[in-house]
Amino acid sequence: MLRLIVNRVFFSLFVLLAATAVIFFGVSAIGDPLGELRNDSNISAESLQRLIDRKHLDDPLVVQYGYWLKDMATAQFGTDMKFDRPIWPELSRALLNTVQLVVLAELFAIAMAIGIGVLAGRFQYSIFDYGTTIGSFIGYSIPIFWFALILQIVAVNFYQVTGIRAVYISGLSSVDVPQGWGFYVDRAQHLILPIIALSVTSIATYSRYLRASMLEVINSDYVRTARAKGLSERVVTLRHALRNAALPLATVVGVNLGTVFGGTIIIETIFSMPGMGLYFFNALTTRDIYPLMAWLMVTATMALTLNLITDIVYGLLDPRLRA
Amino acid sequence: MTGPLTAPAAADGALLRVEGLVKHYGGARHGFATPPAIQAVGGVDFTLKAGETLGLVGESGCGKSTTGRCIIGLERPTAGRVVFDGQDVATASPRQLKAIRRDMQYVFQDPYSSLNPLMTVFSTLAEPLYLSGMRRNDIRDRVAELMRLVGLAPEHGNRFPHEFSGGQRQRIGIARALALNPKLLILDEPVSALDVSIQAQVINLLEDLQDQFGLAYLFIAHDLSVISHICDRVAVMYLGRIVEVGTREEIFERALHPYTQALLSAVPIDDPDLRGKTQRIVLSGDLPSPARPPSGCRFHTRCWKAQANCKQTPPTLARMHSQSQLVACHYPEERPLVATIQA
Amino acid sequence: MTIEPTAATLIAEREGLNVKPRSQWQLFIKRFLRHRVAMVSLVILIAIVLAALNAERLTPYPFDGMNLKDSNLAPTVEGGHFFGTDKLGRDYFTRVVYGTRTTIFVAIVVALISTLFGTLVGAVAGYAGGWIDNALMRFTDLVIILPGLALLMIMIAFLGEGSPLQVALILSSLLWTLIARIVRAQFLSLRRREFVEAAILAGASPWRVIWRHMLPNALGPIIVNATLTISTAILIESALSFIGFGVKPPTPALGQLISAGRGSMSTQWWLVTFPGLMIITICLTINFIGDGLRDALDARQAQRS
Repeated sequence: MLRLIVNRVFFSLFVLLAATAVIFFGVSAIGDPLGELRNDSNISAESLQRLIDRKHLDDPLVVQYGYWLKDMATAQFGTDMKFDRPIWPELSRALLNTVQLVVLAELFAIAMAIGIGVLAGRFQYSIFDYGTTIGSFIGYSIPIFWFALILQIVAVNFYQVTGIRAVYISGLSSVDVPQGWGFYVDRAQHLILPIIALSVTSIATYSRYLRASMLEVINSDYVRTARAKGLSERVVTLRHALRNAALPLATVVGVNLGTVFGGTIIIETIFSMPGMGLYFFNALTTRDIYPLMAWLMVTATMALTLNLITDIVYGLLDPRLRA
Repeated sequence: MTGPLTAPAAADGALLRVEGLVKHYGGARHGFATPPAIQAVGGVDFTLKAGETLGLVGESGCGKSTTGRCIIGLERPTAGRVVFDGQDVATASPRQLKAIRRDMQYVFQDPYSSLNPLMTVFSTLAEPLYLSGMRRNDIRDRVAELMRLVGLAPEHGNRFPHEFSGGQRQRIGIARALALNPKLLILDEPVSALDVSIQAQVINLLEDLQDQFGLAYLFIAHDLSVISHICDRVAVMYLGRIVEVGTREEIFERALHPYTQALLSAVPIDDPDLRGKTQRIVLSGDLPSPARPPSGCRFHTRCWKAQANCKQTPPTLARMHSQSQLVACHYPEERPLVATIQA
Repeated sequence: MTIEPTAATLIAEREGLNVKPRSQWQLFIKRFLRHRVAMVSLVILIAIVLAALNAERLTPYPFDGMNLKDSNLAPTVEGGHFFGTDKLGRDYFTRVVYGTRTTIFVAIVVALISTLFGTLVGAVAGYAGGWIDNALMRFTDLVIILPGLALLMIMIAFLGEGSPLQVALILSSLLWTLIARIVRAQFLSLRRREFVEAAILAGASPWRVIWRHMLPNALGPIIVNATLTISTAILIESALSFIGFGVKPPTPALGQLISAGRGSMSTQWWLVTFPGLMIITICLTINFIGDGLRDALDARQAQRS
């Protein structure tokens, strides 16, 4: 068992190393680090040359790769091209903000999906079931960015009509941040719209999945046995059926996380939230390759770690792998 | 059917000879763990003459299907030889295999998945003919002939498998196997998926075809009663090894191996007068996993007369001095099923 | 030896009917036609596609026809501005229709390429198994591991001039993995099916087995997933053109229109709403059609036994 874990970790590290190469050479191949700067007439030729020397841009690509790796390990990804700011502090802050957003959005989605999916499965063919089915289809068909804009329009119109600032449409916190409870309320007001926008497709996906799972389970023999034993329908649904239907949901969530993360790029841009999505967008717009590569590394690491954890958990659960 | 690589036909006229066939699955990495290899077939030997029917019997998981699949080449054996009509199947090239399969064919177990649901019966039967280079007109005639042979109307050739019953689909499978006039048919539990009343019909059909064309059959089954009147000889398998081989009479009336005796004791008895007088042998314990077969004689964990040496030394398949069948046991002896027979 | 008629013929003969053999495909199509929601969606979708393809003939105004006198109009019936006008007085209905055409073009190209390539990779991996399967799957995993949208944006940023064809190609280079997984799973299970082994025993070459036996039996899920890929492609394409990393002007795109209208969206709501509704409608109809196909497919599976 331990051997399996160690094996897996080593394999992941190897893939990570391969990823660094792919990222570095891939991005370098298609992007000129100095592209934007060369077009900027404010920068003199000597400044440019100094930059080239400092970043070793005259050296062969492989050497640059070496320097980049060194920067990654020691100097925390070094500095960006345009303003020579250190990359890591901003990137790590962005990471925390996005994790906050994604975790909250997914928790919200799962909660909603359990509610919807379980009820729809229990009361199959009811109005509720049909209604939520149509809802999920719409959820699959809505462009997230459009939905986010609509939410903003509604919020703004609400404010214009009532004068009450129920939610905010941009930023992470207000400028004059209140203390204590007020801070959390304020943060919630800022986060609620992005969370709703981000979770729409997740809710649609998870609720359909749970509904299908519930339907399968609810007609199975062991649930029938539970009912025959005289347990109330509620206990049967919640305790027996749900538990078995819910575990495979973890797989679906894992797979969906990648898409959700991609969605943050759009949502954060629209709601001006300082997270990984916005960071990526800015780095790409300025064609600054060092922040880009750093971002890709962080993202790839997260994806690999997630993969690793799921593999290990499955290895623990699946008796076939236990020799 | 000789080629540059074939050995001369065996002196004893055996159409098929299997020697030391071994097939192991797995043992390769699964993810990053290494589960133990499944020893599906652990050394099997037998021969089959032209026109003869050999029954290969055993419970689920004993390796009989795997043996059949290795013989026809659907699996590559881990070790051992399969010699068909002088040709080594295990090391044959794809082209040689294609030639071999004109003379040796296979009937599958499940009538519901052995026919392509999207192809008409005609197309399914025509395929082997077309692939062997037969011309269109000849194909049409031959397909009609094949359908009549198995008791189906040729006009129904343009129907699809789902429009036929299970028994009829199995007949189609038999017809397909006969398309190129093979000498040997390997039948992998051909009637197990059918109702009992249909089973008899299909077995009768198989017997008729055998008489008509002099086919040899390797009849794989888990049910002794099914093969009791079609087989000339019977081989009994347990956990990947053959434990007893003999003629029909020898196995059914004078079985020597304890496992064979246990199987026989479970066969329903025709004669009402004899019912209730037999001793039903119930084997103790469960079937061991093929991944971890018992040491020595693989049957010793469930055998009522197992001794110390049974655990240590695997018995070889050999002839007991007074009998004519082959048995792999350290203590083979006859055991009458019926305690007393009232006259 | 008795010649047995099938049950169907017996009943038919008794009732004096002439029974025609029905293939699986005929049953499948019949079942699909009965699915009302899918049929309605199909009709709507065809209408939209036809409208988009005939944009020139259909729209009352030219795409770029600026008419500052009529700028910023809300949707009205008079003057034929059903969707209103933008700040330069261009008829919005026209712009939306043209934008739809681009979207549909990209979606179809993506669906075709990713389905073809994905099927090829999946089929080979599923049929061959063993190390070939492993290698191909590791390759697809690699594509999946880095965030898709980000990769697309990077590729378009550095490689693209924003033509619809290029965007379509770049999208395909990532979306094929979805189909490949499905096809591989199908082929892995089909490979073990007895009729496939029987075909091999009858002497069929691997390509014949794949083409004649396995592919037709896997076609159902392939078609269903291809339709879903179209819907995904549309959503991604519009998102990309919205943030400026997709189809670039002057080629019209629905995402672009939304982005352009964003500035004044609280007052001129139609600029953002109509393109969005068009996207939703197209994706919704595609999803319903896909659902109908899936239902019809399941019935076919049930018929097999």
